[in-house]
Amino acid sequence: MSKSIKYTTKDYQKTILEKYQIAITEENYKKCILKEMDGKESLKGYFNEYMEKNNAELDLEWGCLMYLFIKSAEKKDVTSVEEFYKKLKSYPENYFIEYTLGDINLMYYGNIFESKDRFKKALELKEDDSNCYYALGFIYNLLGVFHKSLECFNKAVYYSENSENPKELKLKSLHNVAVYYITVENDYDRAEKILNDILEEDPNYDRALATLRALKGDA
Amino acid sequence: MENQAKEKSVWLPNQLSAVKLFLDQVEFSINESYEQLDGKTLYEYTIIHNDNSGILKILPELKNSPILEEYNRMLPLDKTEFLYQSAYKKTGGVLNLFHGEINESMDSELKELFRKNEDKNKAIKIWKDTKSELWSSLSPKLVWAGGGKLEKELLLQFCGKLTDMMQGKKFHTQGSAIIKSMEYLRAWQLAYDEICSDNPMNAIIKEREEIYNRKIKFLKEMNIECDF
Repeated sequence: MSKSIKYTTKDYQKTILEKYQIAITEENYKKCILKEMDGKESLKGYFNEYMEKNNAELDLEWGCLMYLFIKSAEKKDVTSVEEFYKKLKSYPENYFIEYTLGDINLMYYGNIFESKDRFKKALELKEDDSNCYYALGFIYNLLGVFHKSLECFNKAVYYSENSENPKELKLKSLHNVAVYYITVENDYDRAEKILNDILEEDPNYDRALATLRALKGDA
Repeated sequence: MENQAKEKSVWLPNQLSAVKLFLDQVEFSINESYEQLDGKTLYEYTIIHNDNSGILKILPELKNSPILEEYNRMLPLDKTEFLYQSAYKKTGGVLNLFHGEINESMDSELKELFRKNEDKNKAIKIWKDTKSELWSSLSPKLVWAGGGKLEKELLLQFCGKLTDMMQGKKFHTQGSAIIKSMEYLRAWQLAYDEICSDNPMNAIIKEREEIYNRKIKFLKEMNIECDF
């Protein structure tokens, strides 16, 4: 879509109908958004609350723009994500938008500080979100702020039940905690214990097996 | 994306880190002492003489070179060098090679200290000693001090290792190239290194502390006030 053209809600409705065969209307736009969250219960819960809380400020245009934002994020279409984000700016702040932009800033542009700010904002909007804690743990490690990275990975473990993939998130966070004890603290006993805990939960967890092998080899 | 930026034969993830590699080396050389400057560092010589004549004494080949301009920009030729804001103009050295530009508006720690302390000087005093998220856990005073001979050697070693590791690899986004480089940097800084008989992070901090102490002692002797 060209930036110079002023799009109306009708245009967005038409685009959604053509591209996704969904007739989005004033009556069903909230349901359409929630339908996109099928299988992602935590996110669905957030959107439910968000739409209730901000009911007075949301309208069909928001519904169309958010629908297109979600679809663009799914396709990893960075240009469209940024375009719809700009148009959604006039609506109340939203966790999913902040999280998605955090991810794009990190993985696409490598803007680490901007990404960190986005994930921190996302965490303000959705308290105790384990995915945000994991992302922040990853970022603080990149930034060489190791104690904060550890703190965030530990919180990601603690709140992992709230995520869409609790086991996966918990195990990869725990693995990063073990790596912290190896590389930063040189506390190999503690790392080994954490790695064994991971393997008790999933005996085939590749990364833990590899790290444990390396640890035993180095010891 | 492959080999986006090259400094001679060095692989780096983007143009900005290539510029920083160059600026790091300029900054480190300013902290080295030279026989031609009677054992003084270029930093000290510049303050004593209040001009940039020291550069051409040690590097005469830089006359009419654009590199001379970079030295002029980084030498302590005016009083702003001694203000806390000057930390944001420093490179941060090898530990910050892949960071983008840093400015005061990004410094949430300092903002918080200014909010908590009515006395701005007190806030700066705490801030300068506090490990910062902006500079890979270096404190602002160590960023201001800069690195030296050892950090230069470590920087070149790191770039060599990074090049060996990354040469020929393809990255689909700039972000993935930067992330891989930063992950490699963090692993490198924590692993034992024969160059410094320690891990690079500890050795870099130790050298920067020495440089900091020498600078502060010198500035006191020169009766120059400094936020650091």
